[in-house]
Amino acid sequence: MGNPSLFDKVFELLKTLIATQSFSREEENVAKVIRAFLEQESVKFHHRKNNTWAYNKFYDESKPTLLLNSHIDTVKPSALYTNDPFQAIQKDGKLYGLGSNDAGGALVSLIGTFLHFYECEDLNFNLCIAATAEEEISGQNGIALITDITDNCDAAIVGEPTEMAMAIAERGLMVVDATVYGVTGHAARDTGDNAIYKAIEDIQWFKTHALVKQCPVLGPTKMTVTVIEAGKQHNVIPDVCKYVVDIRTTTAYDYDELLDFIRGHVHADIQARSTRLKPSIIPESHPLVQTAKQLKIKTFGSATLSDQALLKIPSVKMGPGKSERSHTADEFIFIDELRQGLQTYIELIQNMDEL
Amino acid sequence: MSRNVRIILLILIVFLASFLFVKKYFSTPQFSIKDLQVQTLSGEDVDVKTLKGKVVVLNFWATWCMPCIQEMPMFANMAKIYKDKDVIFILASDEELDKIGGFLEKEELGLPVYQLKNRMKDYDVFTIPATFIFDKKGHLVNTKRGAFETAEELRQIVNSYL
Repeated sequence: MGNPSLFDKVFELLKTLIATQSFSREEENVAKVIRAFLEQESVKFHHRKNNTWAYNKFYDESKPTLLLNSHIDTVKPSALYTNDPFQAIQKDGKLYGLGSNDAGGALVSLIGTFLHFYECEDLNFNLCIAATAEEEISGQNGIALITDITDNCDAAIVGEPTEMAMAIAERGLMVVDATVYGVTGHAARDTGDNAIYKAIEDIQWFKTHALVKQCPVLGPTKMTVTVIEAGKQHNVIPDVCKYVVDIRTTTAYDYDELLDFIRGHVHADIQARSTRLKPSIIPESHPLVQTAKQLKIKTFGSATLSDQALLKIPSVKMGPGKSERSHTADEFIFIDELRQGLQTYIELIQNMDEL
Repeated sequence: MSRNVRIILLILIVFLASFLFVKKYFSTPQFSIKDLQVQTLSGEDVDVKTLKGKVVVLNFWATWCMPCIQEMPMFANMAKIYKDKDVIFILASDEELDKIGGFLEKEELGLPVYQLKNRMKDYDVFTIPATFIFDKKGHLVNTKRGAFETAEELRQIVNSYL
């Protein structure tokens, strides 16, 4: 790689991140670790709440800016951990610890990449590194809090474990609250209009229909009923039944069109809990994708959500580690994955003539 | 323009937009068997005239559609039950031939599977599975949107047109 000391630095940083508890909304300490690291590397940074960002030393306003973003928060550890989740354990070529894979590996590799280019005077585009909070809960105080910064960038690499394949599209998420109304009555008499029975018809519709229109990269929209709630007493016919639908969206439907379509087929009053987590797709002609293809980096459409959903600029998602290892007990990242991650990010940026 | 005229125009626009939306997504498809354009998985056009005189159960599906895949064994079983009757069960997808072929290599169905030469939306199909039953004269007589809940539901429809 030609710069082993850079790898050693980010490797040590990752170990410190693992050892620092960083649950969503509780990232103060881990944000301090990031800032101390940047300070030590003489990088001038900015911050807002638990988000930290910095630009390359020779930032040039006339040039476009590539955002390098990953998150500093983790989920809470599973009860099935056999290791201490907050101890960075190096064993059999792996680094164990909470957040090692999601997304510590990607975060430190992006920070390393940023440092690699930090003092370059002749970059074709600027770099902005952003280590942001509350990704795991799509919170308001994470990347959503610095949209003035991210909107001013021109494209982004979002660091998440993808085995360094490049996600050129990502599903969005719309959670729908559905309320079916009936008429209450006594269960012993033939009265009332049972809201549960009407909800069953709705749920059957979600179970037995698939939407035809689909995104060429992400495939079909996925709708799943995941929560249901109704009834209070055994002898009272329920007049309300509420259920929740988890909809993994693609670019095939805009959210209003999809909501109207569903409303036309079910009994329930349908309300979207939030429509801000949009699907994303980057054109194949974008320099990020073109350079990835030139470097034989695999591209794919991702089913999982990340902070890409909150970015308005073209973005890709890629990073060392494996998505399936995220949120699991005894989470780990292969040290070779980390090394490869840093190297591939650097190569990608080095080979991009324009943005 | 007076205020009343503007209100009337607005109402008309809202009405027209709602009408077009409902017409696009919620109208019952109307087509006869002769409108069907399909080809075999080896790329030969299917002459739908050969289906005349038979009750045709045409199911629109896709390799990625879970409810479609779940009801496929029912169609295969029905085809066996009705093999000596004037009924034919056809599955049609608008995906690429290699995707359909790849899927069928894994799933032994024993049913004719064709590729639609146009898109499902050309038949006013926006959700799948969707099953169309044509009588022996080729008229569309029944439309089922979504998967069948039971084989009995389909059997009763087919029997009524034999």
